[in-house]
Amino acid sequence: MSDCSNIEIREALPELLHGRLDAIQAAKVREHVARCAECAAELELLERVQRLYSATPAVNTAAIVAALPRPRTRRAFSLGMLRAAAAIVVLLAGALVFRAAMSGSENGKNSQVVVTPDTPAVTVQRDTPVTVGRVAQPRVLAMSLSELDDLDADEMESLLSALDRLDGAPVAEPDTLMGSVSGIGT
Amino acid sequence: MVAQPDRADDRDDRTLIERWLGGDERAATAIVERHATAIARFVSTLGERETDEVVQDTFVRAFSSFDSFRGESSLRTWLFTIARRLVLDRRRALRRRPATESLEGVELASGFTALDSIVAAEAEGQVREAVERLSPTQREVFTLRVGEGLSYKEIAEVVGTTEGAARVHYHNALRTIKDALYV
Repeated sequence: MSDCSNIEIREALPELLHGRLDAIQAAKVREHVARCAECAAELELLERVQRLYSATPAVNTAAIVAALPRPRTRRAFSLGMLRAAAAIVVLLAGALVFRAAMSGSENGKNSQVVVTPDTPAVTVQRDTPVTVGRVAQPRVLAMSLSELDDLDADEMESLLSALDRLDGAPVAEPDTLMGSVSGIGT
Repeated sequence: MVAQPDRADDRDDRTLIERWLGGDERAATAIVERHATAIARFVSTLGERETDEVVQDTFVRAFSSFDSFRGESSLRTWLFTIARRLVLDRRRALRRRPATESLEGVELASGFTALDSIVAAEAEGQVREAVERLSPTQREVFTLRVGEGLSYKEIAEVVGTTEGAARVHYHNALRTIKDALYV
């Protein structure tokens, strides 16, 4: 059995068999096959082969479907995602706790007070305003300028002497704290 | 002359896959019913004895991977590709087993057995014998081309070759069958 020289038509025969040609192409091929013995014989052979293949082994569709995995429905947050999020939260919380613990330890080192014999012991109680700093002669400093006129010569001399004993103004502005100070200068 | 791709079928397949991915389990039945017969036919022509098992495994693997199916090829072509890989894997596994029987004999017998189960008439028997004389690759390509109507491009995807090579295998197979039947 010889082959037709029109390779384009021969290539289209399996397509014609399976209805994959459009109407115009199918008509063109059929027209050629009608007047070409080689192509008619080849198409007949292909039809026999197709019948051979169409004798199909039985397929148990239900058994196949039963063996299939369940569809994984698409959710905004899948169980896996929620588990991952929970794990991240736990890790972050753990890291924060660890960091806080380490920070506390560092502060503990920095807050150690070195007490020397020259350092006054200071006790601060909350809710009581105090002034921290050098308090020199509060009685004298409480006087106003108008009161100076009422002083006699002895009192004026005593005041000047007290002023002479002062060894300067405070180095820094006094800090006002909510608390009381006791034991200064002890 | 270019064959028209079966775009309607492809769209239907994609719709069914989307429905299944969305939780519609009835879509699975529709998908299996559309393609199981063709897969079984193809698997049997590859000489696989356990057709049912391979067809089932093909669908299980496909349904497990639908998330990654990008639709660049048709679903049927993709299923053929999976089925072919499974058959090859089974053959490799068979080769690794201790040889209790001739491997060549096993493959030859399985091929005849598969076709014996689907061919009865004498005329068809002649065609069957002619197809049996084809080399495995020729038979595979010829089956996909004539039995399933795949294009050379689709055949190349399934078999893992080029369109040109698939075309050559088809024409060589056709020549061999003609010689067997008409000489």
